[in-house]
Amino acid sequence: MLKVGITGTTRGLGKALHDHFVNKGCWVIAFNRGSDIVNGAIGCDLFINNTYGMQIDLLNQLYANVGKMIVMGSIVTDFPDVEMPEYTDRKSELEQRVLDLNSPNIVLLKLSSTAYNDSQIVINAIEYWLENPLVNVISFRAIGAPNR
Amino acid sequence: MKMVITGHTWGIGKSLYNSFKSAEWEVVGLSRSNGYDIDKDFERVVEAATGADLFINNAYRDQQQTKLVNALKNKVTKMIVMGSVSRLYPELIHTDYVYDKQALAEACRLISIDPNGIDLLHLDLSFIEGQDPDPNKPTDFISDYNIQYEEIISAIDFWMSNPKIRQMEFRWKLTPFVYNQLKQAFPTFDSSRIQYESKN
Repeated sequence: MLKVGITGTTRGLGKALHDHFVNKGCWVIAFNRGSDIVNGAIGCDLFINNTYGMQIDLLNQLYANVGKMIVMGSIVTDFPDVEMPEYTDRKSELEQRVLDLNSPNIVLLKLSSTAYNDSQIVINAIEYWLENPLVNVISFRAIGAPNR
Repeated sequence: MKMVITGHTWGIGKSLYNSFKSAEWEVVGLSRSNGYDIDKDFERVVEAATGADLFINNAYRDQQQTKLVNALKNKVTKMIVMGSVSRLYPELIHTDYVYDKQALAEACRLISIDPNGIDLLHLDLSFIEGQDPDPNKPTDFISDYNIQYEEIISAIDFWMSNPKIRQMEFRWKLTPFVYNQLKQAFPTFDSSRIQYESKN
């Protein structure tokens, strides 16, 4: 049984991912405020590094201790003029760290705010990556009314 | 539905051409072999692609891919652009190819911040199957993995089957083996830009 750890599962995307993997029959460990994430996540087959604020620490401490890791980044790093300097800096640092690690087991999903609210698209991307693990960045630059 | 692709006679271009054809699209291939050189025949290429439901900007030559993005960004419904992950490693690879692919990525980024920008999929590819190294080229080496055509096609399928995602980017990774080979092939102390040989 696939052992999946996810941070920030009480709402939003984290909750949707939690429900998705539970429905798939995975053993899902939910990490929320107060959880001992590092020790609890060691040995997970898949770790979803979702919660903003501790992502770089968790990346550094866990990348060698979990099977695969999905890191939730942001497209804000492509648009540095956006007026969220601290958030942008931290997401840029996270993205650079993923690039530097160049690990075959890590993917960075660069999400827009719309993507955060459309969990099915993110789930589809995760399923794609699990089948095609040589992709290391999937970026959702614009989501909206289709022209197609 | 009409799809137009550049560089359709070999490699991933040929594979995509055949894949769309079997999916019953009206497919138009533009290559040097049929009189559509993206450099010498640029205006003809633009004319042939205008009005396409999908344009696959595949063939590389200097900055012509970027020029095609800009020339066609209001003339096709959606576009797939074949980039290269090498653009992220300019410290390792001092070639015009890398700078051309950086310019291409920037043109794609600008479309994504344009509220009227077309639907666009940008693929930063790494080593691809079918690219045999040239033994006479010191900067060529055998990769420890090669992206299979099916992987690229499935990325395109993913985007096409999720039409809410208007602009998207997939980036393939360099393995540590490839990274180290590049480091040896392009010593960082050499600040001179190596001429990309396919240009000559």
